[in-house]
Amino acid sequence: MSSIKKTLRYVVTRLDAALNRVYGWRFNPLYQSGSLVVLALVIMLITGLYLLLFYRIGSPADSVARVTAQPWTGRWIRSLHRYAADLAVVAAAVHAVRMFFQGRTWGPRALAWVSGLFLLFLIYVCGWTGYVMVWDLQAQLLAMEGARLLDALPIFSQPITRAFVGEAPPPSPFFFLNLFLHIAIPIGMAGALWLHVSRVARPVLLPPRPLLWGVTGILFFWSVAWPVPMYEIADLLSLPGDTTVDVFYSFWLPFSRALPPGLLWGALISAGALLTAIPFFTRPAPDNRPQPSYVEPRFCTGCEQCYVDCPYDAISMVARDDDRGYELGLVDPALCVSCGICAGSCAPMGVGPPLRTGRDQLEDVTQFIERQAPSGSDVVLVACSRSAGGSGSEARGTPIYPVTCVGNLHTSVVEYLVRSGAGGVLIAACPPRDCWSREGPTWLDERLYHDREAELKARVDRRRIRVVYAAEAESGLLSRELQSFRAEVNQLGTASADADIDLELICLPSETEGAR
Amino acid sequence: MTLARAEGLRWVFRFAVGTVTVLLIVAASRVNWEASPDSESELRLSWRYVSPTVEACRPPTDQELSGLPQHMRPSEICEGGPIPFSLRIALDGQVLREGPVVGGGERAISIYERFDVTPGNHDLAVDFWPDTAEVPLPEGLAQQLRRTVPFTGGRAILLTLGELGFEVRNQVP
Repeated sequence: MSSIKKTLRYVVTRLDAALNRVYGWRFNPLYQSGSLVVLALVIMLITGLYLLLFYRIGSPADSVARVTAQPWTGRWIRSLHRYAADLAVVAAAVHAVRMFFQGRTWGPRALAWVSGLFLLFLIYVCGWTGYVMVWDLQAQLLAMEGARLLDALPIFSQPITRAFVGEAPPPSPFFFLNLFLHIAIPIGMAGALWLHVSRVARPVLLPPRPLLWGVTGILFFWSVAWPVPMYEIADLLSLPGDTTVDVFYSFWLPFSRALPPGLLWGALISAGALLTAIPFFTRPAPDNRPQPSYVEPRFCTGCEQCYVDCPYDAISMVARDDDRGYELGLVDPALCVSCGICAGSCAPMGVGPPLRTGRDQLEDVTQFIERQAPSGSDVVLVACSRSAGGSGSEARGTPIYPVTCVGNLHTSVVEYLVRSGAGGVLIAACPPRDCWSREGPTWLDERLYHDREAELKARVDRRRIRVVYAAEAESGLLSRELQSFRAEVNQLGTASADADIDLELICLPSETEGAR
Repeated sequence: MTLARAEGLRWVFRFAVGTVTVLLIVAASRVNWEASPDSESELRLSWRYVSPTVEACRPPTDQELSGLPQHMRPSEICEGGPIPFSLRIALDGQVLREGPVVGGGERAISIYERFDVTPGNHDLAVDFWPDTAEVPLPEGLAQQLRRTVPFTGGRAILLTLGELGFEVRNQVP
């Protein structure tokens, strides 16, 4: 399993870097794979409503042919509907691969993984019914092979393949059932999608507008430039010879025609079981499993910032059992993925995963400064382990302070580095839409520059701090940013260490602070 | 090159990459595949047959009645059921299938068979007969077909059983 993950990670991160050069991280479609699936579903919904006006279950092929013959509307709408369906499968596959190699499949994220598999299954069934609706040769193949597979199960008293043997055209109830499923399944998808994102706060369902309109525009372009034609109408006594098929929805046909149905069912069930069991296989051993965050009640001031910032809604505010008038944060370990973003949000440093709370970070950075002793002209690289700075290979000679996520980084650490005499602090973060904890870089930016709790104090010289978004395979970008920042820091002159840093003042709350 | 021109070229490049990527997806949605070679033909047999029921009825014996409460005592006991049938299919003298066919309990017999056939003219022999020693049987139950049938590459021939006997079809009605 780990070698598969490593291989996928290597390939995908290189693709990420290549597309970042073309689109920038904001509009990199690989970072928006999940939202692209939703966009494709929305396009299918809108175009499907139009197609529904013209579809007739009594004459399916003729009604689709009439739509296809409409030069100004039906032809490209039908094509857009089909191409969006293909995009949905591709984007879903990319999304699943990313979640898999990023290890976002186990623990609290297992529900998202399993519901995602179910959504993909619904997309396939909906696609199958959609292709059958056309009732051309591909539809005939899909219907007959699907019936042959179902006949292998002990469900029907008579083989349902007999409906496609050629005694008579398929009856209208078959097309009615097909149409009903094609419309009902998307309704079920809405429910499955709600479940899929139920454990994340602020789910991003659609891509940013330039990407949204860009993708829609390109799909529209090909719908007009290369529309789907009407292929040969189904003839049940014709053996489908040369047939035009959709690879994304018909890839299983060669196997179903070559293998006995029982063997194919075994393969399908095994593959489904294996995919569903991935949360189990990818779960780290208990000794290596990251521990959930916890709240230290004596430090919690009830400010609710951790509750707001948590990307997984794992923190709630509950009544205290002492005489303080404000609420207490409470972490649900079943929902906490141990990203540590709560630790970065807490000014009094009262919450966080074990060994990664704000106080733990101050201890670590104190030892780091004692070991590395950065000088007034040195730039310290604070690097997320998943960013380009994670490997450290491009920053030789630069002191590197590693973090598991920049969202976990407490601003007091940055302040301490600057006030201890480092010339500058360069923070290497993952691109915001590729953060393995979803919102780490976003909250870091807010805390450093927009006064979000726990904000970087005004007394810290911002000229000596920079954030760079460099994905794992963008070491060249990080290297250039490091050189550029070093030059800027040199122009600022050598920094000097503050003699009066009092860590206790930094991290202990005032006794009079309360809930906001 | 000015900044605006460079930015403009970047946007053109972005759309080009996106267009080619979507083109690959669009092309993959219309791939030619030979599901079955045109050199193959197929023989299909498909019909549903409700087998007549043969029963022999007799009055119950005293012993059979003694174990039953008054309201459950039948006036006669009938034994029998649907007549079992057998099917034999031969092509050019080679037997493709031969044996009993059953409907399962009281259900109708459902016949569905498929055979790959080389295109050309073939002698088809099909027999469908009641396979029981029970006498007497209703007349006209046994069905038989002896015919030379032309098989065309890429087409199937359907043999079905209607009210007037076996029908050979090469077109869907």
